Amino acid sequence: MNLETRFSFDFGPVSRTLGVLGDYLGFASLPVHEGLTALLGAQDKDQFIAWLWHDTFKALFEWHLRNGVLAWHHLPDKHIDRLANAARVPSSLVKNHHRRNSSLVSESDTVTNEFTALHLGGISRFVQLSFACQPRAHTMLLRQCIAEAFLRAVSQVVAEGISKFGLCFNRILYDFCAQPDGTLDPDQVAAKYKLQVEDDTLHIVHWIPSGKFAPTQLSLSFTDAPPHRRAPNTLALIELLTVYRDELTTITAVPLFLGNLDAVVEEVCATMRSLLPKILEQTGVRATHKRAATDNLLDIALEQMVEVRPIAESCNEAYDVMWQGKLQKREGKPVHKLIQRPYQLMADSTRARVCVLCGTPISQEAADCVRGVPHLQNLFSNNFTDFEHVGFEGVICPLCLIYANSDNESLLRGAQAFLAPSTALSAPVGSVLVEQPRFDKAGRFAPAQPLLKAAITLQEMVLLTAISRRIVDALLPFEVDSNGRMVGEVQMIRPTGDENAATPVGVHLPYSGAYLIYHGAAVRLLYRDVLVGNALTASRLWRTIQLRAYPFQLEISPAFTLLVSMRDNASRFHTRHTLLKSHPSQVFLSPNASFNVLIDDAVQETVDRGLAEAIRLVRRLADMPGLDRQEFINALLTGHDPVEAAYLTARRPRNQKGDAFRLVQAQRLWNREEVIAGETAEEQWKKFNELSKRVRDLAQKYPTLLSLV
Amino acid sequence: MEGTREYRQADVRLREAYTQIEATDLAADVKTAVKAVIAIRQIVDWPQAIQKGIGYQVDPAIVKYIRASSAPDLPRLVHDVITKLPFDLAFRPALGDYVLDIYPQGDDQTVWQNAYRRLKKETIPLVLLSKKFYQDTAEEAIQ
Repeated sequence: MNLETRFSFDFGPVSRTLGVLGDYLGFASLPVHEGLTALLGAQDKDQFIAWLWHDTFKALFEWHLRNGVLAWHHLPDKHIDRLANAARVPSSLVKNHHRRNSSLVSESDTVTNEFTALHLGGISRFVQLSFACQPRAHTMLLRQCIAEAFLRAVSQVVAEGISKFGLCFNRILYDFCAQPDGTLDPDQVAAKYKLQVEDDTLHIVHWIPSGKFAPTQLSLSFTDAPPHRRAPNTLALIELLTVYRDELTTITAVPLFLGNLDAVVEEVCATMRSLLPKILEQTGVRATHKRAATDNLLDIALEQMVEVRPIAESCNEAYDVMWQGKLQKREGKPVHKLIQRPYQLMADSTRARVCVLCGTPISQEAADCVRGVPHLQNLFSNNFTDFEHVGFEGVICPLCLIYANSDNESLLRGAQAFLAPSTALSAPVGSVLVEQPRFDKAGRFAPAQPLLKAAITLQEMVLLTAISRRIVDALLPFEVDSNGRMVGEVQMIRPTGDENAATPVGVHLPYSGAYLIYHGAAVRLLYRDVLVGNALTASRLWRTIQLRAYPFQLEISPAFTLLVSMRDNASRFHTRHTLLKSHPSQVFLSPNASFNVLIDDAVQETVDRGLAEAIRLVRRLADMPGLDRQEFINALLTGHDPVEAAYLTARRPRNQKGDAFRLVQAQRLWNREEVIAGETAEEQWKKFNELSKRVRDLAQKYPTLLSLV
Repeated sequence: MEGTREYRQADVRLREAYTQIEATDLAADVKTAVKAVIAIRQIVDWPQAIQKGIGYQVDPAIVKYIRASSAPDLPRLVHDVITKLPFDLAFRPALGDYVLDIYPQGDDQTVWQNAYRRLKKETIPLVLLSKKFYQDTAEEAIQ
């Protein structure tokens, strides 16, 4: 699969239009919608199965005007009977799922509120992991390990709940095929729809009445297996459950069928606590410190800095919506308040002390994790020098104390790259209507009546998080060997003679989808060839991604969390704590994307598109045969223009006397397209001067970056 | 003593090159600097240099002499370089009317001063640019 393909997604056709008038686009696909409703809304086995295919016939895109209102006709009785029979569930569950007297809960109360897109559904339940600490780089790995344990625990608990249904399948495959035959009516196309169980898979075949539809499929897994790195069209259970992620909090759904929420959360906590030590051990992080007041440093960290809480109906807030011309009262969980939870925790007045390293307000209990007075020289080493990056006085929190353990040097110091998925989207969402579906008689998708905007609801958040994970997977140029362990080993494969040698360069947390690269050469390769881009491929960061959601083609800018710290050989120096000086950035894939990179233990630069292009340009010039690469860059740094630099740093060919080779080299560089594109002398001179200025600016503004081209 | 060589009509070809330069939108000081380079390059007996197998060394020599020169202004810089070129490889016509453009004219000498500075600082790009206007076939040996 080529790189570009890995940044184009098609998870199936759209499932909903949103808003009071139904004129907002919901771009989450039909399988995502059906999988989520099953997980959030099902209360028993039959409901679970019914939710998995309740909107199957939406894929016909048959719209009618009913009493002057646009209606998506998707409940053809006889075909639902046929599919219900195959699924062995009462057909009434699907047929009546929009009726008030239905035994199924309302979708707007579970999957999402579809009106304001500010609240999560009133009946739906969640469990939230929050870190009561600042999002600093040096505690990032530890936080991700805790999040990994949390997500793995949630996945296990929910998978176990599903397994109790005794289903004859543990995955579902949604197949979408094109039906270009324009002579068939909706009933004839619906008759081709199939639902059957094959081995361990519930297979549903949809036919899209279109000549332009490109076939696609998406499978959902209901086991606790982690997401597969190389299977973008498979959503693991934990991906469907993960509603929101950022550096400080993670929100996952809890199915209604699991019963008492408090008991579920308790089980998640217990599982998480039992998984975490193993994950830390396999990651290579020792949750201890020689100056710790207790052997249970991890327990103190979990108790004082981490919260796992249920999000139940008690978190609901009332709000008003307009529905069919009338003001209605609704209830839901305000998303922004859930996301703010870490800051609410930190604002607690009992947290009167402040961690000297990360600046987090902590309680006295947390501060007591250190034995004696927490002098930094005692906690790190006598040579600790990075005082300018920490507070002057205070205590130290358990997370930072673990970071300070000198045994954790290789994983928590020095050259590092950290990539993790997150839930974020940069506006605007560009959507293009591919075609008006054939059976859209009401003109819902008529080109003359475009949908006003894209609404982000719970199911879009799930989709964005899943896409973010795939972006991170696609960007990483290394292999992962899990070898049956809970933590994967990231390997850099290098050819050595006839064979390839695999060097361990980092760790992969499969449930959270996070990667930590700690090997200097690998970090540099990631920075140079992937993030900035190399001669063959420009970086993928500065382009939006393509999401096909029939009948739309969308351009969206999802995000992921990135930290790059380039300090070479820093792990050799106890005194150089690079992570105290760097900050992770949220990188949105768009022309305006930028990321921070810490260089040489001192300088953090922000690399944007223009800078990356300039770096690539200089690299292309520096890589020209016949030049002393490093000398050429040094010449640029001292202010010479590229042609002059080529003249000065040309390598003398063997057996050649005099200085003629210098001008030959300068001429070669001058002749390159990057230097003098254009026919006329004016064009050539202008282009050359622009290049010179660009390189000069780069050398003046970012000398450290230029030295790393 | 070698036989009489064919007169190369340097002034005619130089005038043509200067006309071409004038017709461009290059900045005045760039035009003047390029004219100065051409004034130097046009005196070289390229066939002779090629025949001796040192054609490829001429431009590097010009670059070196331009940079090494301590002449205080543009005309003297041109003269300085020309006198340093080996006499058997260079025609040495007196710099006269046909290179008038490199001499300051009028009260405002800014253009020529800038051209002088540019030539000293951006010697190589200007030498390469000058070939756009004065590309003798014999010079192709340098490619």
